[in-house]
Amino acid sequence: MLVKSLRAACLAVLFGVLLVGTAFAQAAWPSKPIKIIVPWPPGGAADLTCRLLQVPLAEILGQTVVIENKSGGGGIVGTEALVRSPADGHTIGMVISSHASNMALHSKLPYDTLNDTKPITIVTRSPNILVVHPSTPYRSLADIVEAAKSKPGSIHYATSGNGTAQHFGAEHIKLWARIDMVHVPYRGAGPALNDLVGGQVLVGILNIASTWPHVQSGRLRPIAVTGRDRSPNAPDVPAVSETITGFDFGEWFALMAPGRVPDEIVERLYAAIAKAAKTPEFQARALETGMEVVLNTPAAFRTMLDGEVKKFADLVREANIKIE
Amino acid sequence: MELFGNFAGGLAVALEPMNLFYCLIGVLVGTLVGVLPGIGPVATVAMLLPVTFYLPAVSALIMLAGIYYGAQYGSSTTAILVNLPGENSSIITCLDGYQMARAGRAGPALAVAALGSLFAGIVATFFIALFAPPLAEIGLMFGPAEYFSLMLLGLVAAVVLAQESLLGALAMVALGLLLSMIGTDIDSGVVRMNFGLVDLNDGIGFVPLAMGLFAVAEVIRNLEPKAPVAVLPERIAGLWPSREDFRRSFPAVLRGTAIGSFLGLLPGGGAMLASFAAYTLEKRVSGEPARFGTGAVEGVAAPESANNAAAQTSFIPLLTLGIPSNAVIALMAGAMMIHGIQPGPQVMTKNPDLFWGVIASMLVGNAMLVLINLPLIGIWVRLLRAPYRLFYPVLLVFCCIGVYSLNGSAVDLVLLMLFGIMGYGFLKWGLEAAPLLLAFVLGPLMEENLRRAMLLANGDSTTFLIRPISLALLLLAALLLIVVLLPALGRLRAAAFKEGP
Repeated sequence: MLVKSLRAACLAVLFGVLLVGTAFAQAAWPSKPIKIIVPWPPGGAADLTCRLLQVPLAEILGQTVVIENKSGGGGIVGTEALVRSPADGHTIGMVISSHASNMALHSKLPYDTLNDTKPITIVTRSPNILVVHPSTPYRSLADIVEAAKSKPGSIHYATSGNGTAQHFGAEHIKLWARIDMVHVPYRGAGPALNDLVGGQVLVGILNIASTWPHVQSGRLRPIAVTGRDRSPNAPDVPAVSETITGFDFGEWFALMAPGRVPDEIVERLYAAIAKAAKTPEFQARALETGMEVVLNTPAAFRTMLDGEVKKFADLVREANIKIE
Repeated sequence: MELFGNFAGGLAVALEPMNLFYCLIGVLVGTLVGVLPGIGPVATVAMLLPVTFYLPAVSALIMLAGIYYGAQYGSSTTAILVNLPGENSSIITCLDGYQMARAGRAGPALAVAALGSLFAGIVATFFIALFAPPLAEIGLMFGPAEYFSLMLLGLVAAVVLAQESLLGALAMVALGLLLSMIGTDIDSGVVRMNFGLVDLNDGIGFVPLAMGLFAVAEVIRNLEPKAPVAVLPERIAGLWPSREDFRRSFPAVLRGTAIGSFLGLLPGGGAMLASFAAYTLEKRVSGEPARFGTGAVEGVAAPESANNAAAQTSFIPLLTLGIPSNAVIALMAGAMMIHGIQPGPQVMTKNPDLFWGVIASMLVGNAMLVLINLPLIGIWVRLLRAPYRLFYPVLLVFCCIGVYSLNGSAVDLVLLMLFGIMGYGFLKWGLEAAPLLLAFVLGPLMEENLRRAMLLANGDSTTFLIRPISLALLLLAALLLIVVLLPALGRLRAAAFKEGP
């Protein structure tokens, strides 16, 4: 056990050093290590999903799987790197709902969202949760709406960043209730939780996996989850959709290939990823962190992506969201 | 006395042969990545994360933690020997550490750095064990306004550090802030000041900037025809610090440990801010501030103990609240989640073995680091005896490999050389690069917190003055400025009178 893991450690270091910059022409796929570009910093939910896939995927494909974090610009920086990668199926990238919303938010994206990236599959889905600091009197969504109505500008809400499903979920609530709330974007859930738990900002919409421990310890009060239905991990917390019909602003974690990757390679990638995500280890970890494993086909993901793009575009127009 | 029982239990976990082994691996790898330019603990921990799948959670975290604080040790080695800060927390060590090495006192400098770090590491570990939960609350009292004011204080301290001219230091801070703004705006994703170059979309990297300004600039200076030869072999004195060195270092280590233990609690640039703050304080309390920058041993002891103390206490927010305070610790949160442990307030009660085991392993790891590093001092110093016409090309090649391996980008190499030339210019003009680097690292954090504080206050800028902690920090900054500016203004007036008719 000791020797084996030590050897694994040495190998990992060796590979990491050797692989940098090596590139050679390939015949069959997969003929060299697979790189997954994660447009978010290490340690977050998007990064973790990929790292949980890393080992089983490498075993299935018989190739090392390397994860490269390229964060910044609400996922644009990493996705741009994906689009510029060779379309040989050896580089894929993770995207989240911001992939669809960026198209609506930015007039000048460095790539064409629908043509420069090719859907493989949505790996997991996880709801966000609306929470408040326990020092506030708010116990329901109606309380928050009431407070925002009686004192405009008094509600500030924290999210993991601009253009996330969390941000859009809040904008949808604003539009529906005709209220104003000030968005305070953070760089990921960690810093946002720090300020929420510390009472620096009193309302937040964040990923349920990182937020739930603080709800359990009583440092944050849950108000509602933002998925289609209640979360199996938090059955007592109502869903926003019980108040606002059709409300669905959960987060999804999906893998994409560069736009010109041949369809048969995308199908093989899909098969391999689906197999990797069906291993008991992956399933167990996903359940623990409140993730729902999705694994829809490339065609189904394409249809769903088109729907998301339209939903975000409509919301950006109606709520007049501008971040530039 | 439950605490001692817990801690003893943790020590028992940390002393299990397998955990000892992974602790050793961790600190060895950490020392290595600290010494090697370019590759940092973030990349290393990210690379080793999949390996931790196969380990028990405690062993995995002990190893990753070892890499993190081991890198702090390693990076001070290169800072002292060749003026190359491996991590941003050892920038300040270059100032006096490298001067000591030039004077043939690399051995004492390395030994003081290692022993100071050991002392700080031990104190900070007990600090965590005794007060972790209440200390975590201190971090929570800091909101965006407080962070902004703290960083402003940091920048003022950087100006105060100035050996030569205040105006020069101010200019360097401004330049550092400007450089830090190049690239994609984090809030909106809009690219700024990239001059149409896609390669600048991610901004300028810390590594090419720090390496260029410090190491490459130093190489260029040593290539001057009339340059004083870097280190004359016969000038290398003993390897061990003298009694005088110990006498001077001891209070500096105490103060550095205190500052570092506190600043490590705050997310962001804790370790780096701590090293700057400790150095500034030493220079202030010293009877002979003029010695700083010329090889004062306190100038090595204080920042090195501060950054190590901060590296340890920065675990507190993760272990008690589940909130990571920097990128490496965020990766460790990831490692915990891979093992099915949700980082959060429950870790301490649900997984006491893990919590206390990791804390106790820091004691073990720090002791190992000193045992590894003290014998190495002789080898490092012998390295300096190599004729520098052979030594510096190797150094340059290592810098280039280090920078290239980060992103595989040739533009970074061009930047490295450009910053090298810039750094040489600064040397010639008597300008210091340290304030520039501090401003460069703090710039984005400052901007982010300024915008957030303004959003939360609905655009009311008095928020910085109304909040007590923020006000206290701002007042401290103002006080520091007055203390420094008064004599400077006096000199200016004296000079003006002298030059008058």
